[in-house]
Amino acid sequence: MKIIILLFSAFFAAVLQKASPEIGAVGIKLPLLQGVVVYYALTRRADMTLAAGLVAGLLHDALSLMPLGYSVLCFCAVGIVANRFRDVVFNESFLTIAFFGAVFAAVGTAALGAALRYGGVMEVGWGRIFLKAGGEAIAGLVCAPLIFRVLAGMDRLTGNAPRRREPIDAEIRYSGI
Amino acid sequence: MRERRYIFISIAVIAAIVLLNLSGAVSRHAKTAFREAVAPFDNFFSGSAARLKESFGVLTASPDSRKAGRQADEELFRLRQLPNEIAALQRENTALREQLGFARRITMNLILGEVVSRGDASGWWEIVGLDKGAEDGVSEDMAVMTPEGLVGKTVTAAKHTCDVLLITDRNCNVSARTTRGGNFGIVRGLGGSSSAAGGGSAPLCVMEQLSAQADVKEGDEVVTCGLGGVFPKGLKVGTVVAVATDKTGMHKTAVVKPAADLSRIEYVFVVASRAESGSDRRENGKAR
Repeated sequence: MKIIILLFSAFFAAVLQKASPEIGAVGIKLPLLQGVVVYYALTRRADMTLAAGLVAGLLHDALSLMPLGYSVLCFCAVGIVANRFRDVVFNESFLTIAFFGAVFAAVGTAALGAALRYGGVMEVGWGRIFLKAGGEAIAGLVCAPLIFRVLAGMDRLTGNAPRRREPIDAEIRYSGI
Repeated sequence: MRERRYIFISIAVIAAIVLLNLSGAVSRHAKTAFREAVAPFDNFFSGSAARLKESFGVLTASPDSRKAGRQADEELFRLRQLPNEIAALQRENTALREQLGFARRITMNLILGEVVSRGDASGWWEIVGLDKGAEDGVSEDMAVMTPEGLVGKTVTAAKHTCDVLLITDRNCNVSARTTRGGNFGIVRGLGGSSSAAGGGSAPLCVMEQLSAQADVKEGDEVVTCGLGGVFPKGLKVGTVVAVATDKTGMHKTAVVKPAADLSRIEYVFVVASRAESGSDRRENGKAR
């Protein structure tokens, strides 16, 4: 069931991200797929984080002109770093989720931009990379808490997480999943 | 526990390396499969967003927009008469060409497609999605146009959908020439225009590699020159809106406004094939 929920959430995040309008001149998209990876990085073990990074990255690459593997590498790398350091920063507050969402979106976008630039896939200047990363950080700040709410609800509904009335991140963040 | 983490990280790294090193054909097939799976949902969400926008527009319609609607109806009526006029002109044109000894110059097989989505998942490229794909005869690297002018080229083609890279994208290069003076150059997008997102700002391109002595002025028309094999010769690209000399002083650069309104395109033609007539072949032979 955990894998089904991961696939389902990543699939719909990808569809919504593609259908969402671009914001601003540098093409800022709502980082919904990154939000899914952030959720798994902050609430699950490394294996599920990497699985989320793999699925989200594959969908991200397939629905854009990016070569397969670029987003997988970036999402998995940033996801595993977030998973590793979550206990250092994570203090179970709503703002922390937003913070992680923003950082993940910004670092992920900047890493992808650099990969595209140095991989010779497209001509992109550092100015655009930084502007896009900044814009996506703001979008991630807003999106990540919403994605947390939705995915936590889905996990509770399907029995992947205990049904308890506690602050959102305390409810979904537990060991053993 | 720590060992397990490293095992998963190793698996992920290996998976990423394998994906990055997939051959072009395998990678294309994998992407096509993903796109096919997502396409119905993507069309549904994009269509819903467009309908919502349309409904909102009707609700907030001002007297001016109602007047514009009436004018559009009148124009539509006039346009319905147009095919008859065009047929008459075509007959006349054919007769005159035959008298002059010219055959028909270019035969283009056009596939009509509807824009069903705008932008990609990453936001790095300016693309639009069409409802026509490989089964309709669309493949990669085909020119896409509207009656007003060039739109871009197809970059991916799934079974029932395809993606079109707009000429305003920085990665879209079109070999072109000015109709007045015949100066050759490369037109590429300036990007960042939100044209793929349906934004209101005017997307622009830039014509580079013009010689310093090139006679290019504001208002000059730019058309494709047919080099490169993707874009047929003679398609209108746009109009020059500004000219400047680059830092080295060896080349001129012209800012070009695309002829097609890329932020509002709904229907486009994909140029599926192009048959050359005898006179065209002769001209190309001379050029070589």
